[in-house]
Amino acid sequence: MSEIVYLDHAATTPVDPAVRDAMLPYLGELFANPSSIHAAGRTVRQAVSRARSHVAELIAAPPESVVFTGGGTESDVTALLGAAFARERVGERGHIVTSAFEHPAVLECCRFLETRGFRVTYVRPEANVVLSADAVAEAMQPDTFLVSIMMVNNETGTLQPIRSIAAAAHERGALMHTDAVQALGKTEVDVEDLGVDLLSGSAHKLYGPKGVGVLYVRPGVDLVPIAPGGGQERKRRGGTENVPGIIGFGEAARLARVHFHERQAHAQRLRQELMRLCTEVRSVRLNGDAEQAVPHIANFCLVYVDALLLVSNLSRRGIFISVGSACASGKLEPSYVLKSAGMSDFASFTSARFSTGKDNTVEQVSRVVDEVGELAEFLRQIRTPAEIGQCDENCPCLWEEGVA
Amino acid sequence: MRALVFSDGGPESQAQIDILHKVATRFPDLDVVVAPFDSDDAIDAGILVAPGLVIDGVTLSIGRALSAGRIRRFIEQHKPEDDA
Repeated sequence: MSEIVYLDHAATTPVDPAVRDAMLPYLGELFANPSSIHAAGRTVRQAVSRARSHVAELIAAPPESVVFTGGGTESDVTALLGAAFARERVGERGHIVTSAFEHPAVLECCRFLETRGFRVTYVRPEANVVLSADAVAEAMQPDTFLVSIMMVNNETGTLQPIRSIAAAAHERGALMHTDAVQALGKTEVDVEDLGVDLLSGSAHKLYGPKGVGVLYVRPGVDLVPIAPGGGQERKRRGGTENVPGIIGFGEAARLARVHFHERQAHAQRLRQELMRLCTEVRSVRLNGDAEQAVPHIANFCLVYVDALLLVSNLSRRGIFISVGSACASGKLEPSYVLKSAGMSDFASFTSARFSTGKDNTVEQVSRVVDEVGELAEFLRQIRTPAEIGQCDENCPCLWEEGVA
Repeated sequence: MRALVFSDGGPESQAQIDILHKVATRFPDLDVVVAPFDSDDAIDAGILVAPGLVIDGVTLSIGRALSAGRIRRFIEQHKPEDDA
């Protein structure tokens, strides 16, 4: 197999060697429980505190507002259920506003809360997979107590207008939560500037380990802990801390901050190269928004190319990308993210996501563009339009260009 | 040439197997092998749903049967030189 080119960093990133080195002592001699009062425990507690400060600095928050969790999903669940249970505790339910393209961690929580008597409005994005802040504001009701909107869409990389939405939420007395899992280390995240009350993040999307996440909780926000346990994390999240994971997260956050501008510039260069797909390969279009997006995620619709076959055959050539379509009950389901923006099933089945990382080179991306171009022509001969389907006239992208 | 069909035993998988056997009558060098769709080979080929079809290392179909015409065209274009 040729050299491996990993372009699936939105799924997960490799652990940075410096992060791994920082973690290793905590898998060995520094094993004590940070809650222990003896010297060994205190040493570990100090290291956890330093890691907390690094993560706090990445989001411009005070360290005491940082809660370590078991990952991005747990952070989302803690935010949504914690806020909802706080309402229940005072005998109230109420209304939540979210988007139709949130991560399943948020969507499933909302569906669960609906079974408990809460009401939820799922706002659909515009055709460019960006929400209108006005549409979110209009969806709010007098008893809306929580608005949860992701900062960066994981499938298309589009940046959402969190600042405006947070302002609208606060005007109506609602809490603002954002899932910033794809944003941390990739775009500026400042909880004060954004005006969010709750923010979720995950270590493994920024070259840290899997199994550790963060929930920022603005001081004074009432959250019922989902796992009270032994009162760790200022009684926000019980259970002995995942010390090696937390140390790794801290180091990954520190590196993300130190190398932020350099990584951003590199991601822009890679994106420029990747965008050759739109100009040099026949009938390829960017899904989402060219400007209002993070540079490291790009999603393309390749007309009449079965994206699953593209992924599979690229994989055999050592190139790893992903698709938004999912396999459910033995059947392929279109991407709910692209569908929420009005795209047809056809567009979804012919769309693929490319997400670059700090260690990718321009030469690697250039090779990917060339190989995708070659495979796209081949795969267009494998399936006829009749077999793969047609774009319907409401699909926002292809119909306008008249290519499908 | 080696055609690997990943089957779940359902009607669509059976249809793909039948199509391949029919194509094989015209291309005697085509070796048709049937494997479970949840095997390691299927995972290697990125086959998430049955039927899956891989011919000589190229994944041609995932989740539906590929027509005889398409398979024939692929074989004709990719036959080794000395067989052409």
